[in-house]
Amino acid sequence: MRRLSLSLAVILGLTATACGTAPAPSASETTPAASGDSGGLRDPKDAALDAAGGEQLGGTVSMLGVLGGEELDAFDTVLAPFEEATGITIEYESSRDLGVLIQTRVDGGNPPDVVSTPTIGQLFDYAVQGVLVDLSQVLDMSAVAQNYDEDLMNIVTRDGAMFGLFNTVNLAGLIWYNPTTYTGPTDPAEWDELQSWAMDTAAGGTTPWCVGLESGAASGWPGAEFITGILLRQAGPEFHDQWWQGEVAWTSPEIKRAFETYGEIATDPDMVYGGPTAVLATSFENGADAIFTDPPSCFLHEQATFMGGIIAGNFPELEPIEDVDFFGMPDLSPEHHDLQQISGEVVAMFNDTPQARALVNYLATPEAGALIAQTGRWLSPNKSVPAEQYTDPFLARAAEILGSAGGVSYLGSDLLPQPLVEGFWRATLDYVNDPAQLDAILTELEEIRQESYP
Amino acid sequence: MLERAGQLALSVVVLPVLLVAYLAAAESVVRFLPRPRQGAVRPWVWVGPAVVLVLAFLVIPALNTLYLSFMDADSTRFVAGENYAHAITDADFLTAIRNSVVWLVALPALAVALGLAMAVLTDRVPYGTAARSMLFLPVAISAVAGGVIWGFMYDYRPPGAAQTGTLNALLTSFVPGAEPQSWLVSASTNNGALIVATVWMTAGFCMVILGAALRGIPDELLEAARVDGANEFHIFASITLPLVAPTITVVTTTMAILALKVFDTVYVMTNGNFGTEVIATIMFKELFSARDYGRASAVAVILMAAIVPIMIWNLRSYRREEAAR
Amino acid sequence: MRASPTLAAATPVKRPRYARFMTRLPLHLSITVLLILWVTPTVGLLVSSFRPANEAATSGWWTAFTPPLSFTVENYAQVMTRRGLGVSMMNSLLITIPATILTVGVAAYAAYAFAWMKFRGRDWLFLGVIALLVVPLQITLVPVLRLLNGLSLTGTFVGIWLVHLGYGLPFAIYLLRSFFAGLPKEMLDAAAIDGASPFMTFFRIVLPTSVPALASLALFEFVFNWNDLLSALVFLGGSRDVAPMTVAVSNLVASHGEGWQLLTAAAFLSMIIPLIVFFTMQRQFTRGIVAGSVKG
Repeated sequence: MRRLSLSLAVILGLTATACGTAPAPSASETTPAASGDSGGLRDPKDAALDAAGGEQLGGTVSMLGVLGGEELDAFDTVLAPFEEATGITIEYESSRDLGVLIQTRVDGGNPPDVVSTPTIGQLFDYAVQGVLVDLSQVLDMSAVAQNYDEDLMNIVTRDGAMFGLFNTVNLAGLIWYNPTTYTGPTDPAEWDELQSWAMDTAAGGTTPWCVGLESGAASGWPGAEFITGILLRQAGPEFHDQWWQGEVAWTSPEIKRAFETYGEIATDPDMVYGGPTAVLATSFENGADAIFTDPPSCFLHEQATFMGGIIAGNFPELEPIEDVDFFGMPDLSPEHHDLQQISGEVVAMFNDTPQARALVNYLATPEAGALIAQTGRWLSPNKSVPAEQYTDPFLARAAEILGSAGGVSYLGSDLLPQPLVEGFWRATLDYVNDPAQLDAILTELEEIRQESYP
Repeated sequence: MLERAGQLALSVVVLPVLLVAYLAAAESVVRFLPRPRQGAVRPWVWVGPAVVLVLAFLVIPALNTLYLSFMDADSTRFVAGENYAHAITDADFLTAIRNSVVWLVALPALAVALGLAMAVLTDRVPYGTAARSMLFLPVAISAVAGGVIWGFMYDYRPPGAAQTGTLNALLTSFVPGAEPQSWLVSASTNNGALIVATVWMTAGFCMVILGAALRGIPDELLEAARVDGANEFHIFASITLPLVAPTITVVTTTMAILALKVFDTVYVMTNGNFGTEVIATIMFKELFSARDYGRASAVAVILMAAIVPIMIWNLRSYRREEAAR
Repeated sequence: MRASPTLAAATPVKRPRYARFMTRLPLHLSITVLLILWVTPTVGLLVSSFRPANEAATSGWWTAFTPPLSFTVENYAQVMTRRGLGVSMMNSLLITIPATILTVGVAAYAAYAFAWMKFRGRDWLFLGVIALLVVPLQITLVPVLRLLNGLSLTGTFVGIWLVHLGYGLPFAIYLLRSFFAGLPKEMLDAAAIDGASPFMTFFRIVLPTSVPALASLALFEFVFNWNDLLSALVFLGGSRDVAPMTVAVSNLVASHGEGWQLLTAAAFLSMIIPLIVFFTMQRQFTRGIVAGSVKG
């Protein structure tokens, strides 16, 4: 399993299209509302009808996911043309305890037709059990091979069967800051450069970083993601792949080192706002707030692309890019340059019905990908989605970063088996609570690892 | 909408009719039997529907769980007591047991005492109904909303920052030199914080039940004692309490079992982190995170077995009450 | 102890109003303290529900009362205009009311039998039913789902009624039996002597005198079923046409928590119906039970 090839990263930033030549996009041509008529894409309704085999199938598809609120509204705009064109009703059910619901329904005998989930490690289990439909029998695989990066595909393939399709993507490992108050490097090439500015700031009396780990039943996940980002950049993509596939021990020195690097920030009361107590007690949604107070109490916060929307919600008067911006996590090792990580949701199918097939085929089209881009919330993994579809300034910048990356990996912490995912979250909390326990914490994770991989 | 309203109206009419019809039909069948046999058969007609339902929804799953507790994670291989051995030696589980014992003692004691106090006090003032409504309100709140409310109450900001949590704001404003506490994170306060939140959400329940029982005490009884010169506390202790003892047993038992099973509050507010694990959160993790049906079942069985002492106590009260009838 | 019939209640001596107030001052004080403790958390949520999200997240709710005052009904407006909220309320009613009726009915039958009929194994059966109170919900999910799937009741309202009925019976029977057992034996014996069948006794005498107990139980079952989320998701489903309010409310919030301020408003909107039920039942509570769980 190799890291994602350069092509995904490059293509996300390019205007190459799936069919025909594209007119060179002009800078002023940002038409988010016009669905699908830029860059050679069809009307999404046509794409949908095509996906359904040219017929108005009617009927329903039951879909289970985690989206809610405005997010769900946004995703509805992606699904709406499909429903209109094919007459199929998508019954979307949402729960933040998605894993519980899926497991109960699979074991209880009535799984949903389609599921869209960020916890891909769980899907691995179902793939092994054989309860997921092999999407290579459902999708146009030549188009898929063209539109999706090979390594991304390999993650969702088992024994030659493709059990999932990447749907929406976020860029992880971004460092958010306030350009009007931040005095440090805005595009540091190396971690040490950033940290030396941070330590100077700490010596001057202000904590440079802020972190928030609280998140209800999922508390600790932001830390796990940050540590994963550090691990990737310190130990390299090969080790990272071996790690999430369960081939290395959690007690390995590389992992310990990644935790300790994280600990330099999160466990040091001089380096993080409010010290470890605040780190543990602050909700991740408020994690970046102290950057934007007057005067600011910290300057840096690590989080994925969706943080932009959260900050905008807490501080509606801030202007994107002017008052809120980010840069990619700098290199942590001289051997591994400019690596980026993505996270996202995967769509999988439990029941092979014509309506479910139509839906999955539709989601694999560039037109659906373009609609996803237009929501301003997610990136699309589909290489054929033209860059100008990203009208949201943060996503456009994220696409740029991905485009110039030295390599792109999937966020390993999302690919672990579920007990390890949750163990990792808790380990982050336990570590921040008492850094001296690190060895014991890693040993416990190692025990879970040994029980978790088939 | 209209369709639903119609269905609702229909069911409100049909269901009571069905219930009465069932009993009427069953009773008429019983009356066909010879007189002496009627007494043996009739009770089963009355308890029958309940028994069938609890068998299907509770007993069979419980027995299934017992069986699964002796099997491995996928329920394919027999492993005898392995799951139990693992539970008893697991540090997290032992923490959960310790915490559950604390819940078992604290929750019923506080909720019943407060519920009784609320019932007694509000009975004596003209604004009692309004007061009771406000005290009952938390019971009507869902676990999720309760989590949001108490999340606000316990919110933490670093020292020096403006506090957003009610408790920390009160603490820092009125106690000189006090620093805000991370109530849900700090091991010395987090279990107590969760218990307090749950007491808040359940005392009103105790109040309603105990209030109904209190109102069953004939006024003349109390007045006679007052005229005889007894003071309020004495009346309460020697007349009121004994008369509502059976109800106190019911309420305390219910709260004790709730304390053993408590899940939603802990899950929503801390997920068992920082030493707040309880038996149900461990079971949940084994079931839905590790997907180990064997271990989850063993934990569930241990939880269910913990009811035995409570049942023994209930049996004694039950026998006593029955003897008096 | 029967109420003494010889006691013609002598009216208590009327003391001066001031003195009466002072002796009752501790009573009023304790109630006030209780009320303050109990109401404050809810008031905090209520105030937050009228504040814009960014302010509610960054400052305590009491600061809303200091200038600049910025209250808003935006949260309520967003929740109420949310597509499907009205339907979800109807769904919640259609789930809760029939389930409550069924639970009270089936439990009353069983409780009466446990209280007043003698039969072999009665005591053990009764204790067994109470013991079922301890069965955790999570372990019943898969077996019950399989059962419902087998009966083709998944996703139907009848199915969810049966689920709530099954889960609610142990407590309902426990509570009702305690009340029924407290009814005066003489009253029931008199009915038997008059030739009333158990059926008649139950409907003509027992039920009417047990209204407060039945009302309490109905209230609890209603509130508990109204606030249920997990059972509805698993057995009924979360799709818009059948989802109850609890599901619709939890869907107000995005997967990363954005929109949480809508929960504050939604919590209050959701509380209205149980409160209405509570007020309706209040009138039933104040009627004294002839002999509730009082033993004589």
